[in-house]
Amino acid sequence: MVLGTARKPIPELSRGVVEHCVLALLREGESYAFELVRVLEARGLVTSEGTIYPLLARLRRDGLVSTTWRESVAGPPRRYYQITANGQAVLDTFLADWTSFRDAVDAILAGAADREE
Amino acid sequence: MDPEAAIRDYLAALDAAAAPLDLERRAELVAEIREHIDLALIEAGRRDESTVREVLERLGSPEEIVAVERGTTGGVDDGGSSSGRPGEAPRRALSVETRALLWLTVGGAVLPFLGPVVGLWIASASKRWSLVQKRTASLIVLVILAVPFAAIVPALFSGEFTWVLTSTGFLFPFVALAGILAAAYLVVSTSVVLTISRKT
Repeated sequence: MVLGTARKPIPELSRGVVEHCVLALLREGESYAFELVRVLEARGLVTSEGTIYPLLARLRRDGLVSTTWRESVAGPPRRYYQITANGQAVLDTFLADWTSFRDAVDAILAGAADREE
Repeated sequence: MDPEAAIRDYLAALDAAAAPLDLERRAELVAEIREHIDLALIEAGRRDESTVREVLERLGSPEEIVAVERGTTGGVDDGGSSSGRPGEAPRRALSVETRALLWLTVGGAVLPFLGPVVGLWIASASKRWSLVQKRTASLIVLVILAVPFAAIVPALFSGEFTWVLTSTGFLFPFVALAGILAAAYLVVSTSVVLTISRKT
C-alpha cells in the first residue's frame, strides 16, 4: 500500500482493531450485528458494513463471543452476541498492547509535529 | 434497475463469491447480509431504487466481504475458513427444528393427535422460528384437527356409533394432514427468510 492512499477509517490500520472494538462494545452489554455495525460506523471505524459479518463469524469460531437467537417484536429472530470469558481475556491483552502502541505512536507523531512547527 | 432485482443480484453475486466457503457458512453469510439489507431498508423507511443502491454500496462489494471471510484482508488469524473451529460447540445431531418437523410429519402418522402436538411443543423451543410462525403452525394444526372432532362428537351424541366406526378411516388422514401442513408452512416460511442461497 502506498502511504497516504488510505483515506478515512484507514483500512490498513483498522485490521485487527475493529474486532477488538466489537469485543469492547459487547463488554458493555449484549448486542446484535446491525446495532454493532451502526455504532462502529458512527465512529468511522467501518466503511464496508458487510465486512462486519465475517468478523463476527470469526469471533464466534474463536469462542470469543457466544450467541443467542431471540425473537424480535417484528421481523425474524435476532442473533444476540455476548462476550465470553475468553473474549474478555483477549480484550484485556489487547487493551494493554494497544495502550503502549498508541503511546509510542503518539510520542513519535508529536515529535514530528514539533519539528514541523 | 428495479430495487428488488438489485437486491437479488447482489445476494446472488455474494452467494457466487462465497462458493469457496463451506456450505453452511456460505448460506449463513448470505442470510446475514440479507437480513442486514432488510433492517437497513426498514431503518430508512423506504425501499426505492436510490435507497437500495445506497444500502448495497455501504455493504461493500460481495468480493470484499468474502475476502474478509477468507482472511485475505482480515490479517488477524491464519485465514483458513475451513480450518478448525475450536470455539464452536459441537453440533447436535438433530436440531430442535428437525425434531419438531419429524414429529409433525412422521409423528402425526404414527401417533395420531399426539404426534403433531408433541411437534408443536418442541417447535415452541426453537429460536429460529418466530412467534408468529409458531402461532400460525399451531393454528393450522388446531383448525385441521378440529375437523374430525366436529364430525365425530355430534355423531357420538346422536348415537350413530356405527357411522363413527366406519368413518374413522376417512377421518384419520386429516389428523396426519394437520402436522404435515404445519411442517410445510414452517419450512416454506423459514426458507423464504433464511436460506435463499441454497436455491441457486
